[in-house]
Amino acid sequence: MMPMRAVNTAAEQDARYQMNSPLLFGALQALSPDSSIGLLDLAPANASLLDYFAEYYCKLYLPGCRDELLSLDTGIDSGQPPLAVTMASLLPLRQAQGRPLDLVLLWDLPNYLDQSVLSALISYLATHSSRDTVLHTYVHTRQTMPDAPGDYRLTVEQKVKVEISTAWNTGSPGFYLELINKVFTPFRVDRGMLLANGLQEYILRRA
Amino acid sequence: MIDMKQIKENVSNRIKPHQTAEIPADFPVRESKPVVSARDNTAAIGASIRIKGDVSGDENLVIQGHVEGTIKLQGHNVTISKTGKVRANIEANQIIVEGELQGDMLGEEKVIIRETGNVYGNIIAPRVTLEDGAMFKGSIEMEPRQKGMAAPAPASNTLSGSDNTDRKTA
Repeated sequence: MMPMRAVNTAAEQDARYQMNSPLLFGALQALSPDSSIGLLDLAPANASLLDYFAEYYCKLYLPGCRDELLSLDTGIDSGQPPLAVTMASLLPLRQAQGRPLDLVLLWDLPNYLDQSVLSALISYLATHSSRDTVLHTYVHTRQTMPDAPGDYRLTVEQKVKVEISTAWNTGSPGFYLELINKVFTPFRVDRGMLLANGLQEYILRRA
Repeated sequence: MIDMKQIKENVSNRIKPHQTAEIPADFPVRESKPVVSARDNTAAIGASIRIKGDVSGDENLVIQGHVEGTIKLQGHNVTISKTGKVRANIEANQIIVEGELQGDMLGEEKVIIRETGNVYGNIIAPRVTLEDGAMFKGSIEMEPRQKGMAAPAPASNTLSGSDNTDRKTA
């Protein structure tokens, strides 16, 4: 990653803003409120998701493990259990009892994870998914990005409220389509859309 | 099994006014409020009380102390106060968490996690409220009471699974 630097544009200094996210809301609206929905949100639990699903019949998995994932040390001598074991511990999806997830919200987390951690996460998610499972994520397309993940909340106006809690930037991982398809295997990009703030949102499905 | 009525009687006897002068200065009860409120039929487990076992009864319960085991108060409400630390599965009509809970909750009507609440566990309830600032790790599952009923207008910050025939147009 590039060394951290302070923000230097007016847009970056605006730590709170709302943005359109057509693919995200398209994925949400594709979920039927009449059938049981399994949804995994990797962001810390917040009320906005509960608000959105107020009338749905669903099971929301809110493991709140973002910080733990970010702090995983993948060094050879780290003394930690294998990543696959760690994923099962951090994401207790065994409660799904064999029922695949319908939607996984990754937000901008993949930009901040060590690539081996991200691969382990995706492999673990793949074991709890089907061909109908949808992954949604945001990828930073600019050279720099905030040095910590943002907080994203759904609004009643079908927008996403973004809150950046850091004033520092760091280098973005530079994800591009082929790299995403490689890192997210067995998921592949189904749709992508560049948003006004330099984020690109992606919908991925099992190949 | 711990009978809440017995707790109520025991604690009520202990806090009789004429006995107050006989309580030593280092007596561990810190709350000056009555432990049992006859008005709203609510029992309380004081901040210095630690209970290990199964709690059941026929009245509402406020937990200010520590409880480890199970809590079953069907048809009644359980409140874990800010000072409360509970390691138990809870079954109750309405469950409010202002303190710490490690365990699963089965709420017949509603589960509310206040901004000071810290919950590690799973929730099954028709409605769940998560206030800003609350910490939650686990899963939330709706258990519709009568699937097919018309959906009521959703309350702020709530998760309702009891009625879901109408799609939210957020």
